[in-house]
Amino acid sequence: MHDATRDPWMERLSEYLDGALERSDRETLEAHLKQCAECARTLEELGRVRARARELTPAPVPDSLWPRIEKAIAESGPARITPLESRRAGRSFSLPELLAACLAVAVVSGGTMFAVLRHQSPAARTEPAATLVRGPEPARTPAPVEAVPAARTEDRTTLAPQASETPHEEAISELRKALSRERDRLDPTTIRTLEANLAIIDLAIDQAKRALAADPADSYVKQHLAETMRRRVEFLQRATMLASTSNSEESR
Amino acid sequence: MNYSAGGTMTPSQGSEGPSSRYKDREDVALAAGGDVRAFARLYGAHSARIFNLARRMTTNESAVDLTQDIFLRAWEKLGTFRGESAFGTWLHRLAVNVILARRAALRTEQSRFSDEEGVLDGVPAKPGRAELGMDFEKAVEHLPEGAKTVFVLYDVEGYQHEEIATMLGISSGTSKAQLHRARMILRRYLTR
Repeated sequence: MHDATRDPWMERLSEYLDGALERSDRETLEAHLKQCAECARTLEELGRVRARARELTPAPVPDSLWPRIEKAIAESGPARITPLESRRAGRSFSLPELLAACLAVAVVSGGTMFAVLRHQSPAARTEPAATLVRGPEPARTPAPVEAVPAARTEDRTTLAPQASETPHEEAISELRKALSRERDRLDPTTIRTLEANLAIIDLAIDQAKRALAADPADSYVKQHLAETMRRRVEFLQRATMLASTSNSEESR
Repeated sequence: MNYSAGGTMTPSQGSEGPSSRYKDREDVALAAGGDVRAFARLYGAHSARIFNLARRMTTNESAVDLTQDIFLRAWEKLGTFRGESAFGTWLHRLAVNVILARRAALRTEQSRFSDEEGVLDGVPAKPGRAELGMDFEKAVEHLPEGAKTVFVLYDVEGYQHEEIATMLGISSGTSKAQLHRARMILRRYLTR
C-alpha cells in the first residue's frame, strides 16, 4: 500500500490520468514519473481500472419487470387533469376522457384538413374553415372549436416541409390564439401539461428543421418534420377542444 | 448518445442518434397524455441502462425494485419534461436522484457499505481474464459507498466531477478524492 505522506504525487495520479492537472503540475508530475517507478506502475494500474470500468457489460433486465410497472401504472390510474370549471361543479375528467371527447372532432377536422391539403382542388381549398369540422359529434360534445383556418390553406397540396410549413404556422398561430382565449378555463396543472407537450413538439420541429437544413435530401427528416407539424396542429386542436369542453360543461 | 466500448452510455454528452431522439420525444408526448404503449417503448429503449445503473450503485437485489420505482416516477413526472435535454439524459438524472434518496434511507440497514477499505478482502480474486469482468463488478459492489458512487458516476456513466458534486452535495475536490480512492482500491484488487 502506498504512503501518501511519503509521495504526495501518488494522490494526484487520477487527476493526471483524467487530464485534470494544470500544465505546471502536469509537467512536474511527468518529470517525477521518469524517476519514480512506484508512481509509474500505479499510474499504469489506475489506467487499467479506468479501462475496465468502460468495458463493463450490462446485465439483462428481468423480463418480469415491465409487467410489474404496467400493473402499477394501471393501479395508479390515469393522470387526472381537471378543468377548472368542472372542478367547481364537483366533477373532473381524466385526460384520456377529455382527449377522447375531442379526438373525434380533432380527427375529423385534422383528417379532413390533411385530406384537403393533399387532394382538394385549388378552388375548394378556399372553402371556409367551419365547413371542414362538421361531423358526428362525440359523446359529451364540446362547444364548437374555432376551426383550423382552412381558408389559408392554399398550396397545401403536399406535406413536404417547404410547401406546408407556412400554412401550418398560420394554422398553429390561429389555434394558439384560440387556446389563449380559453386558457382561463383550464386549471394550472392542465396548462402546464399542455405547454410542456407543446414545448416538446416545438423542439422536435426545430431540430428537424435544422437537420433538414444540414441535409435537405434526407427523406426521413422531411417525413418526420411534416408528421411532427401535423401532430402540433392536432395537439393544439385537442387542447382548444379541451378548454371548450370546460366551457360546454359550465354552460349546462 | 455516447456509448463506451462496453455499451455504457455517457449521459453528459447526449446519448441518442437523431432518429431515436425524435422517437423518444414523440413517445414522451404520447405517454404524457396517458399512452402506456408509448411509455412501454420508452421503457424498452432505456431500461437496460437504468437497471444497470441501479445495480451498480446499489446491489443486484435492490436494482429491480429501484428500476420499477424510477420508471413509475418517470411516468408521473413526464409532464415536467420540457425537452431541453435528451429524454435519456433526463431519465438518467431522475434515476440517480431516486437511487441516492433510496440509498440514504437504507444506509443504516446496509452493513455492507462499510467505509473500511478492507471490505474487498472477501472478494475472491480470479486470475483468468475471462472471469475478471465478473469479479471486477463484484469488487465495485463492495467499494465503500462514497467511493463507489463517484466511481460509477464518473468512470462508468461518464458524468463530470462538477455534475457529481452537484448531485451529491459535495465539493468537486471531494468527488476527485473519492474517485481516486475507488481506483486505488480496485487497483489493489486487480493486481493481487
